[in-house]
Amino acid sequence: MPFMHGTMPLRRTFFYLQQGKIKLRDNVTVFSMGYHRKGEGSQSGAREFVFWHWAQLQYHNPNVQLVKDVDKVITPYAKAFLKDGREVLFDLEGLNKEDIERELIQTLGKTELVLKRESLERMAELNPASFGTQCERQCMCEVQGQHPCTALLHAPEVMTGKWRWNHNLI
Amino acid sequence: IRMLPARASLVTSLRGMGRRAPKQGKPPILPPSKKVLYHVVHPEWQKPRDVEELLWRRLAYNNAVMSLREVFRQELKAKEQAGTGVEHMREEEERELDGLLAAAEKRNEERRAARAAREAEEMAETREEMLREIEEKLEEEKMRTEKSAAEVRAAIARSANFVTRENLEESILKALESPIVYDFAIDRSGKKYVEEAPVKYQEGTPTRQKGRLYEKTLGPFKAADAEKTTVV
Repeated sequence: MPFMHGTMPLRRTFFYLQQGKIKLRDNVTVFSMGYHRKGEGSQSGAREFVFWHWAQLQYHNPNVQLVKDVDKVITPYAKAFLKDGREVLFDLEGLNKEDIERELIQTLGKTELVLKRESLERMAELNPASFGTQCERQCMCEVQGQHPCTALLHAPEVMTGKWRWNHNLI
Repeated sequence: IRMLPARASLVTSLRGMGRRAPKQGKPPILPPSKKVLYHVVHPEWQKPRDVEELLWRRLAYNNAVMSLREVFRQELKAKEQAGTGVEHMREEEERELDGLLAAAEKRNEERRAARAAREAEEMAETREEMLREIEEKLEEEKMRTEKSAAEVRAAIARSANFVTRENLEESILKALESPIVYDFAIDRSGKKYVEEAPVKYQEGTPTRQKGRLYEKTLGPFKAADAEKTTVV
């Protein structure tokens, strides 16, 4: 059965992915991290962060490009590239994975203001009158006073599109 | 019984031979006939009261929707002017982000300075250690050199007594003149019996040998020797 694959298969579970806490702002386009594959001491925090939280990061930020720079620089670092061209550098030497997570959330994560603004925008886009697969009401026939579902009862012919527009002239 | 015209049988017989059947209706290049050109709607008769009621309801509903839209528009405009609109929120977000990035940069600077100080300290320590190691190595080498020099000097001193080609004859004659007897016996009381030195030139005629040359009769065992005896 394809369950227990890899070093820590817990990381591959859907529940684990959903527990990710880092939700980056919309400004962030690329997030790169440089660490050592066998780093010890002050370099181990970055390695552990990548091991445990990389998949969660990509799951919660599907539009951000994540890049790993392995065994290239002595000091572990993280660098975020924003849409307006700015670069944000994080020095990760001596930090453990919890500290790194906290710092990323504090600096580039979505704050309360951002979340409030996004919820307001979502509400503005939402039209309670619409119905369909993505909406609360699946069919207009669910509304009191409307014609029953045309799957059950034919609508009068004058209401049909082919009566009103599409005449099939030939 | 009506007979089918001969033409139908001709067509069917042609179809039967694999000829293509003609398309349905008129060719597309021809315009549509006047009968199908317009579609006149003939709605069902409805009671005037129903028509009026439905019209009134439709108008009332549209009015309500338009009014609500206007109310919401005014609300949004008021919020924008008061500074609580979405655009203002975006601007505030930008300012917040700038502040957070500045704080991150400040943290980076502090860590950079701490790292520089730590590395300088480590460098000094490493330098001290290296110098210490070099000094130890030099000391060790010096001692080794002195020891070697002393050994060489001792060897040179010892070589003063060496037998060389020059003093070979002298050494041999000297050795012959003064032979050293290494042979000895020792009894339980600790008394050492040494062999006599050999005679260089035999004087007279030696007596006849009666026994084995190497056999010597040791002295009598006295009481005084018994005190000194050690049991092995």
